[in-house]
Amino acid sequence: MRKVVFRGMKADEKRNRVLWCSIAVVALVIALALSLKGSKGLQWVISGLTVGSIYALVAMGFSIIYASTRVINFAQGEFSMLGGMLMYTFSSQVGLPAWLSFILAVTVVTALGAGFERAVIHRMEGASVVALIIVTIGFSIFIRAVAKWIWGTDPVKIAAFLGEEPLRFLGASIVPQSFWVFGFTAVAVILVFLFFNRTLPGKGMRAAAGNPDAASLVGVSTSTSSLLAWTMAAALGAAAGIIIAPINFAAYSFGVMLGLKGFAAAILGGLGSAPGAVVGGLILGVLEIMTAGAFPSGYKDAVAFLIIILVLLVRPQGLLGKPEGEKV
Amino acid sequence: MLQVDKLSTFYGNIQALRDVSITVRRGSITTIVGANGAGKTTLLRTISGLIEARHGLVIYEGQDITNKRPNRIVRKGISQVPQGRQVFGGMTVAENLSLGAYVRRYSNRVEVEQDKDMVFELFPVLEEREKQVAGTLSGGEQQMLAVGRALMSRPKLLLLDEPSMGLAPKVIQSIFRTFFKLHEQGLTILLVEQDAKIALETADYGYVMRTGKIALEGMAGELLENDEVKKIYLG
Repeated sequence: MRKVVFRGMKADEKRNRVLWCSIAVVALVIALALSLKGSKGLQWVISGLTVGSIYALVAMGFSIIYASTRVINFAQGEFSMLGGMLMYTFSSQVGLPAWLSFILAVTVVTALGAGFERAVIHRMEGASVVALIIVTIGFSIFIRAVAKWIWGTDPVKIAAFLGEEPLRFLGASIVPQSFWVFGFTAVAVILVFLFFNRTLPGKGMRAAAGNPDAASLVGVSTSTSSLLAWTMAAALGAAAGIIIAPINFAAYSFGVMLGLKGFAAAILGGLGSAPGAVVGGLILGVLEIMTAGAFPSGYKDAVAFLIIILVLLVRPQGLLGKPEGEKV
Repeated sequence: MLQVDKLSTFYGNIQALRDVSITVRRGSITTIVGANGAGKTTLLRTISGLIEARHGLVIYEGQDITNKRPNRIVRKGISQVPQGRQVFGGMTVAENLSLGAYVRRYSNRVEVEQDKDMVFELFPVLEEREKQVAGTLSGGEQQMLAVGRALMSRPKLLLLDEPSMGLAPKVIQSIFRTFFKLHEQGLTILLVEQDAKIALETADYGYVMRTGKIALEGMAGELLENDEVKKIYLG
């Protein structure tokens, strides 16, 4: 009996240790960047954290669907792309105010995600996870084709929510949009974490992923659980695509890279873990910007894939993930 | 209370249940014994909606519940303790119990807390382990947690699937004593068990299953004395 208790405590301690280690890694990466070239280093960190926050949001979308259904949704990046393009349509083409355009764009993408779950994923009940993953790849290709048809291939510019004038800070410049990115990401992460770890419906969704039969037997509807996961992931993805659009532009093709980066961030932090998504996203963002600064910028996209390969070799469950991947 | 009428279930083309009919009387402990692969677990899983029946009916308190979704069936008062316990390994004992009360998530919290205390009274070791992750519990403790979780939905009918599996004789004795206690408090129990001896000693009425069919039925005491049952299942 004593041994059992000991084992339980040890697992907890180990998780905490890993959490602190990950935070240390983030701090180290930031310190490294800062020490490099004075104000340029600070600039890298700010830019890296901004783009890293977006990766974190996309990674969270991957994690939510994975943690609830064990499916990896390769259309996750397309949700962000659609969010950005719809924002452009509502705010720039139709001329609606930014807040209303934001709400409308998120709503449309969320409805699309939920509709896809009901129309396709739900009907494939009993199909293998691999089959479902392939269907999401097909869905992403479809969305991209339709987006290209509607908006064409040229990137579009979206006005920042609150002014474009960069703020000066210790020699580095910060665009105001970055604060929207940081704020939104922080709030979203905290809400998602609380939902999955403190509320009964959230715990029910985790249970449905880890053990669908046992979860059904206590009354969790695995079908509702999957629908909710897709809805949340689509909403988060859309919001991520919208808030980054004023900094990075938007185009029909941007979803692919964003999706892959978000996936890399999720793998790095631990697929299925919300804190892991943030840690993974921020590390990836900063490393990428540093690479772009130190080497020809074409190399920066390689960082994400190098990270996927290294993590899968060294620590397949990611920095904060548990081997069973039940946590969100 | 529960009537299963000519139920047939298939896995692909393989028929796992052949016209199985059983009756569970209110307030009874009814048991289904039989060898591995006889279809006992399939029967329970069909009753609770995890597997679809091809023919036949499941009638619970006069209502047809055949092929209803499992989450609907729990709401009606049938709770199953699955084979191999299947606790939520990554969550704490307390979280497992709260999830057991999932169907009551909009009802009175105080009542749910009281039921948790009731489970702790039945299984004091769970209270000691309240904050511990369920995956780190011993087999016996996990079985207690699985039973406690099933009780948290306030069932009228408890389905138990092989509760003795992989447990030490002493632990089995103690868990079966709890089943008897629950029965005395008015809970109806349908017990599926490979260990025919302990099952028939606990139950009022018993069925013997063989290759997907009911081979024998009768009062549990009589089945215990039955020569065929003695020879094949009691050794």
